[in-house]
Amino acid sequence: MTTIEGAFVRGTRVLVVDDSSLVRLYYRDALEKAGFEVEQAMNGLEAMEKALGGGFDLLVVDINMPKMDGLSFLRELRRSRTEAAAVPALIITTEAGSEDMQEARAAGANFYLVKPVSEEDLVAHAEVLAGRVR
Amino acid sequence: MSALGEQFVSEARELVAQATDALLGIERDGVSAGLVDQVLRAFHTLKGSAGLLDLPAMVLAMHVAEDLATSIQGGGTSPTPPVITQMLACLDLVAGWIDAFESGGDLPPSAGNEAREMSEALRGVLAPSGPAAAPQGGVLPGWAVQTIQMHHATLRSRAGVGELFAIAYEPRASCFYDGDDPLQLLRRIPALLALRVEGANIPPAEIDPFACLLRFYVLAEGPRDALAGIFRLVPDQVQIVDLPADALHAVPEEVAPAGAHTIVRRLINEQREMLQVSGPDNALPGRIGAAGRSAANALRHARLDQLADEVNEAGAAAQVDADAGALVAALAVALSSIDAQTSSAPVATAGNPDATEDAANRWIRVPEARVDALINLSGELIVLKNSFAHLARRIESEGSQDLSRAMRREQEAIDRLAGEVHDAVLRLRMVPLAQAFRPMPRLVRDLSQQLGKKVQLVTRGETVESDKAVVDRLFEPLLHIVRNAVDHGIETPQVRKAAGKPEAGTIAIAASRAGDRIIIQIEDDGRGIDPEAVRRTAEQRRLMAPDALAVLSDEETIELIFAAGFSTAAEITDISGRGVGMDVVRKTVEQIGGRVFLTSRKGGGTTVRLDMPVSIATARIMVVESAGQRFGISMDSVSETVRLTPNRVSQVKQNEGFVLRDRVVPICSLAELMSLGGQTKTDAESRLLIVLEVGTKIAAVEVDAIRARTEAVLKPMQGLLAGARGYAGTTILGDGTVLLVLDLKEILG
Amino acid sequence: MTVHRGDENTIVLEEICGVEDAEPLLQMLMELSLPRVDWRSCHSLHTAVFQVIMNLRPPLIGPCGDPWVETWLVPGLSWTIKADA
Repeated sequence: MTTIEGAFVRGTRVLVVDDSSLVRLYYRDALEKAGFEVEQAMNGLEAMEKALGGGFDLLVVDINMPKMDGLSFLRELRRSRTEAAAVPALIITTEAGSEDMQEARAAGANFYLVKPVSEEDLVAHAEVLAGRVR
Repeated sequence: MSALGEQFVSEARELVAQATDALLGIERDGVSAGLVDQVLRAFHTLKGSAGLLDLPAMVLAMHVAEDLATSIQGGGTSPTPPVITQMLACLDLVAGWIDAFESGGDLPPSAGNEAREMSEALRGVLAPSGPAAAPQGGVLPGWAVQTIQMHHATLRSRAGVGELFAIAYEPRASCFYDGDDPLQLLRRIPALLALRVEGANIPPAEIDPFACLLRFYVLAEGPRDALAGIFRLVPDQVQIVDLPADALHAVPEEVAPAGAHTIVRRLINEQREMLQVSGPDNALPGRIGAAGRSAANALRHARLDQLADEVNEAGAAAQVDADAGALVAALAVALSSIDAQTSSAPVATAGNPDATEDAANRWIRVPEARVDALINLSGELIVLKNSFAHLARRIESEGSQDLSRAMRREQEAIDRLAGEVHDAVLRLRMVPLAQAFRPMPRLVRDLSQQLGKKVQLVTRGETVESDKAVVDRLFEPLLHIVRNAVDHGIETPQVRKAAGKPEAGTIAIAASRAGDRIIIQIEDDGRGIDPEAVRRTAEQRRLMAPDALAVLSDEETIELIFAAGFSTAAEITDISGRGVGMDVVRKTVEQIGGRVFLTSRKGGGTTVRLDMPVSIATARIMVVESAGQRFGISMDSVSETVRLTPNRVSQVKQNEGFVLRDRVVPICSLAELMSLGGQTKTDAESRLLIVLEVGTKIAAVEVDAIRARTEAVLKPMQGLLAGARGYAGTTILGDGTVLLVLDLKEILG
Repeated sequence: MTVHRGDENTIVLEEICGVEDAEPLLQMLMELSLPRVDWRSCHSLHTAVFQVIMNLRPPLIGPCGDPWVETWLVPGLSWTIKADA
């Protein structure tokens, strides 16, 4: 959503969470080209810190990361009693099998894309999930 | 019933119809990604709606049906006729449940058992899935589908039988530095079928020529080892996916690229799904909140701001209450609204066009009553403009030249405008004939299977439009005619083969527009009607005295099947059900201003022709005068007018009559018919006759003069005269007089 | 050089075009106004060179001397291709 405060237009802020720097770069380029403001996190812990800082309109989360994986991060975030708990989340997964989907839904994912993700798909889904009007 | 319940009923009915169309399409043309997807989506959505309205029996049945559809999609189950029949039976069951829900607010008490039995039956046709029939749980990655789509023309012509693979090769950006040349690897693919390259669109100033940002998508034949071997040094950049053999067979054109509206719909549906999955309690408010925001965002993206606001409110309330109910309900409503907006006029083909954002294709649902009210108003406008014309003529003769000229101009303008408004309004009620044709394939399929016959149905002209009232009432006669064709017309395969005909019979339904009439022709290549057999039956049923029968020509004999009492209950086979007689067909068709003709050749087939009006709101009438009074005659049955010199008139039995091209035509006087008294004109010069034909009956009505031919808006007879025979209605002439319009068919009938 | 200027704003690709030709090609394409690329005599094309062509979309004078490129890559190119010099 864009809010117009005075002469400033705040862009839609996205937090990209993925352990691969190349993937983060790829998503960031795609989203920035489409006009989003992008922040990055390389694991669930870092994601949690940044997300709790507030101000994000969308999360893009890879759920196949080691350490505190994407789903755990999402679960924790949804549990937190903050504004950030209700931020829409787009998860990137390697599988669309039904058990994984159920787990992701239980954790609070709002939509999903199956790898490999094309630039158009990523941007199209991000725009819908973040409510951007062309 | 609640608004939600009503939405459920109409949405569910449409889904059942779509799934039926798709299943029949699969049976006829083979499996295609688009058709299977349509079936799957239908069951999936029905399941969701049933869950929402707390109808566990239906949820159970839909769940198993969905599994079956998924199995077909993944290639584990083949859609053979028994499988299709079972799924159609499941849809029948659901249709019955929907009816029960509509009248009683719930599924019938037997639903539980029925659901269990149906689940058993469905599971029975679900074959165990083949080994690795499809990758990733039956879901082909989007890039594979896209590549198939783009190259389907080449792929279709492929004759090879090797295994098929889809390969995604996304080299690392730094691969050039590693000495890689991706094109070199791709060249090594021996049996390459299709190649798609995607690149990043980067402004020229920012291009780094040494960063590889290209992505390659390939379709190739196996063996897998050979392919894997080519990419063995870059396994992390390559994905190789098995393709089920039938992925290339049919043209998956219906798999539309994810247009925004499709994503919006899927996203909202996904929130519904997600909220039904239980998670940790303390995460529920967060999940509800996120779901609400996601759905509202999606709706805003689609510029459906009002729906977005509603979902937002529901979501906020649900989050506070930590109860998803209100939000789930709001999502269902939003979904139905989107579907209502994007579902176009009834789909005639199984290739259901995906909802697109095409602004030119937007639809509005309007209550029928409002359209009718508009039509009435418009009709009165026509009457008014007629009276205006009359006024204009008076001014011309009585008033000033200038004034009358000005008047005439205005009158012509109003004339045009009223005509245009009327046309536009009538078009609101226009509906494609496809609605009436839609159930035919299913009927033909079921009936021919039951009777052990092979019948194929061909239709043309589904897009021809007619007034909704006509199309609605067309369905039953059409049904009877087609039933008869399958039951009595088409012979068994053995008989056909012996007669040198192809084993499968054909029924062809063709609709076309001819001026302000619609012609629907139902033709079959079956055994035709045997005049002898008809004669015998007519004798048995004592429809006519034997000597009268003997005089009839073959064509006239065949017409007897339209006589009441021709088919009795014994004739009606169990298949055709209730009393079908062609007399009912003719009556129904005539009630909507149409005519039925039948021609047949013994051994060659039968053709039934329906001649229908495009619209029943206006009628062509002829204004005639007799004994000083004017009447309107509906031109439906008028075939010609004739001026006779008295010497051509002779006495035929009690009536006068004359010969018209080999036929004897009895004459009756309109003045007598209407008991007008007055003086009959004894004009020695000529007599004016209007010739009417109803079926094979022909007669002439004598009038004194014909005053006009015009298109008029008929008001049906009201009050005491409403049931009187022989009156088509009334209309108001330009000078304000009321004209009684006669339906001479009934008088002569 | 396997990438060199021809006449009339044409850039000619000859024989084997390797990864090192990508940058000169890019520069030429950016310097010339309305450049065209003649790849009829090129029979081996490195991915980097192809990528530059895909990004800059110059009209191409073909057919490409590399039949594999002509068969598998050219059909997917989305801009109009000039067929003759």
